[in-house]
Amino acid sequence: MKKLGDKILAGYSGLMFAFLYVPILLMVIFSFNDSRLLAVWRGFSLRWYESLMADPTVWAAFYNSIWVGALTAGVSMVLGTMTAFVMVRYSFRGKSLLDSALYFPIVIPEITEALSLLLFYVFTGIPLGGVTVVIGHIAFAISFALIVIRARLVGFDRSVEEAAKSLGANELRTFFHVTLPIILPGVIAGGLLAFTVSYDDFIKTAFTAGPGFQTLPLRIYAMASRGGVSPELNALATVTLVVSLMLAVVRLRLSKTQS
Amino acid sequence: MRRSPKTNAGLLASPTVVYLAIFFFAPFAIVLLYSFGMIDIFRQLRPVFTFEYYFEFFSSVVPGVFARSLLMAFATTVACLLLGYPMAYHIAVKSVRRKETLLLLVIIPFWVSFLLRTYALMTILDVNGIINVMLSNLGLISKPLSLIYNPQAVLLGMVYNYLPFMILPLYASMEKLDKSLLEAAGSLGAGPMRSFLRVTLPLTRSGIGAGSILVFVPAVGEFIIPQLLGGTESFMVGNLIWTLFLKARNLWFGSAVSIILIALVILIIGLYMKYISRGEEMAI
Amino acid sequence: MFEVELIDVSKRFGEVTAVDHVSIGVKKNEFYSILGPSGCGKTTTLRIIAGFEESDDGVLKLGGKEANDVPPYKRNVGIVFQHLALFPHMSVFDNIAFGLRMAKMPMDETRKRVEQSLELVDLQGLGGRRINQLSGGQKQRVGIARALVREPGVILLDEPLGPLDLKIRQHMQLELKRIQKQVGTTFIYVTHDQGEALTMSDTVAVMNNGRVEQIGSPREIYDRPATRFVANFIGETNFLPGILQTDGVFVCKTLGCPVLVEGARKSVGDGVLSIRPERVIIGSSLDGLDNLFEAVIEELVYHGSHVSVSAKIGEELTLKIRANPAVPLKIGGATRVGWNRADATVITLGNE
Repeated sequence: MKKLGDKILAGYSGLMFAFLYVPILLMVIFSFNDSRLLAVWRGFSLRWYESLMADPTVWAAFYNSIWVGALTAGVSMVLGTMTAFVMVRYSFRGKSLLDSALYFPIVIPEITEALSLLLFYVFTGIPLGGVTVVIGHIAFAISFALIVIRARLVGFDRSVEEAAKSLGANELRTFFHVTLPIILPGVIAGGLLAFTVSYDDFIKTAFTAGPGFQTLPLRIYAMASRGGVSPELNALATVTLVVSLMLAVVRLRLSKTQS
Repeated sequence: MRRSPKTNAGLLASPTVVYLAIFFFAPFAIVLLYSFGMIDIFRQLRPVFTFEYYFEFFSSVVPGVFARSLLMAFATTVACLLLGYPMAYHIAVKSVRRKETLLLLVIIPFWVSFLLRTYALMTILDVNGIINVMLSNLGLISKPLSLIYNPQAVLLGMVYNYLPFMILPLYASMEKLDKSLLEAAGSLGAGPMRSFLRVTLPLTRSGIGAGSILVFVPAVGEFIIPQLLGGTESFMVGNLIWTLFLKARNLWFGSAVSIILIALVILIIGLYMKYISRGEEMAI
Repeated sequence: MFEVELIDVSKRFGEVTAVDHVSIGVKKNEFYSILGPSGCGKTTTLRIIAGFEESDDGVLKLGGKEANDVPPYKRNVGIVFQHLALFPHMSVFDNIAFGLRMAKMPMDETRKRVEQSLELVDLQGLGGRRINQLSGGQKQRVGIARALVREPGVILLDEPLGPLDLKIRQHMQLELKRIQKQVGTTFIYVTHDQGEALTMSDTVAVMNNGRVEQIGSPREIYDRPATRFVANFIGETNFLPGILQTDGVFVCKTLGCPVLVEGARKSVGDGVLSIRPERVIIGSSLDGLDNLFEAVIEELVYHGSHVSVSAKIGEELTLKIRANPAVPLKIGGATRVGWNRADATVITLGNE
């Protein structure tokens, strides 16, 4: 009896996993379909990818997604590392307040963040575009990078820093020669998370990009809400997906190197 | 004398603090000001203070939209809980050899954005989507089924996207479960149903709570899923805010609605934190 | 002049006083041990010397100069950490060379010195290895080489042999002693292992609860413990409570009779007599001993090289004795025990 129950449970689990994956897999598969129709397989073809590659607005959106993501990652890594040091190594009045404040960007509904940024730019008269998008992404991504870097810093054995100091390295040199190399995988993982958060972002970007600036998610949304489903969109979605997955795999590898 | 640690901490923290103060907290202050009508259409600060935009909230259809959002978020949470609990249980308790792989399989969808996942559902449910095209090619239907642009599609999309958010905390609390407790219950005469209700369920309470919050709170303000999969009866708070800000340019009423949403979220989270701390007290 | 001197140094952590008015003087080229149980303040004291903790009161002098405010990277102090703290992302060579790089030494000079270091600790040719490829003993040697290569005035060692297996530990003890003699640097060695402290040191400072209980050579510490703690912590001992009179006679409470003790004493009053089990003679060869008593044997445990005996004298006193296995003894048998006055020490409570 028990064994049957276990088998049913396993079968149910399998079904649910299929539920989670089938739509995505079908979306990817049909981006290679040599047909306009999404359900009948006509043959393998890269034509939709070719039309994507020939579209300059797609390239522009891709380029924007990348540089916005890279800038977000860079700034978040630096600020995240500095803040992680403060949170892990120091205690002071108001620390728990700061701690809560750093979690706000993660907890608050994204759309409220998006609209608040828009109002901020409206009020201050800053024109909307790539810069306003990046600013919003960084404000959000710092908290994410912080979580990852902080976790890496918590288990850090400080006696190596003391060893460095006993050998003549002052605080700054100790950081660059000893501490940073050791926490680097965590810092990079934090940066990759920040990149992913920025790369996948839709809502905040939609509110702060203005009429002339587009990223991949914005383009996907525009195509989906206007034209509905199409194989080109499948192709675009697949490309976006592949980048996200590659980043995630690297992140996973980096977190595994923490012995 | 050496530099005090407090100045060090201050120096290191200040860039982030300043950045967030300007680009995260100040914007929310501005939303607040707009909601009370203190900023006018010429972007000037006025010494005016009015509740009119909040009153407008109550006299319009907006409360209905909030109610619908709360209902949808609730339904999503319950569905995710019912569907996800057995899955989490299977991975945490029953699967021994493949646990890590299965866990990875739960995490991978996290790496795909909501937008892409929702679009993937669109390709299946749409008028020109996989189901309709397949069924019509097989001659089973003469005109396409409207599987999309209705509340059911939205619920499906919500559950599809939020399910991993429920499974992971459940898994975490089940992982910590001491299997020998179940064996002890069994040896004391409790059948599998009783063991589950009396032992497993209460001990996974924290996972259920965490998963529910992780699903419910963001679900209330969700935009993409109702926008892409829903029709007019599925209009939720996220869509409302989008329309107010980006279409109607009604920054004042939109701000009031947003403040109410934030207040709602803070209330829910506050209740949840109270619930947890009370649970801890009871445990002691 | 001392190489390292602590004058009345104290350090508090909140309510707890970790280091309590400690005064220590370490001479040049000495092997100096700070010995005590966990929590006695020895590691904190070491960290104050290193510069990782600031003392609340008192003065620290390095090489005769006040060093309270000098940051650790400006002190000429080498440290071997308890868990070594080797740089995991660097090779053996880079670990050892680190200090020289910080001192901006030119590359060829650095290379020469590192090679010399590796030879000194018997790790020639292993410069290219990564840290995680080394055994425990090898890591120890890298830690020592790294601290030594800058030729600092003093090397601090914080229980460096703790995590090692017994055989390796014993071997490393000899190695450390050899290295210290060869290089001629002052070593300050912190440990809770009294065996280590006794075998390796020129001078031992015994600490307990933040205070220094006694400073002396290993022989002095062992034969003439100044406090009950020292007597009990180092080796085993018997305590006979009593009163030391002004005429130099110790009246033992539990024996009910006087015991002859050695030497003129400056302080008198309540105290204990400490006599070590191996100094008590039992059964035979008792002629001419200063103190002699009748005893009944209660317990005998055979240990191969010796027999540990519990002997009861009178109603109240049980002595632990280490006896030669050749002496005929049996449980319940009556015998005599005794010792010379020079073999015992009186510790007056006023002195502690």
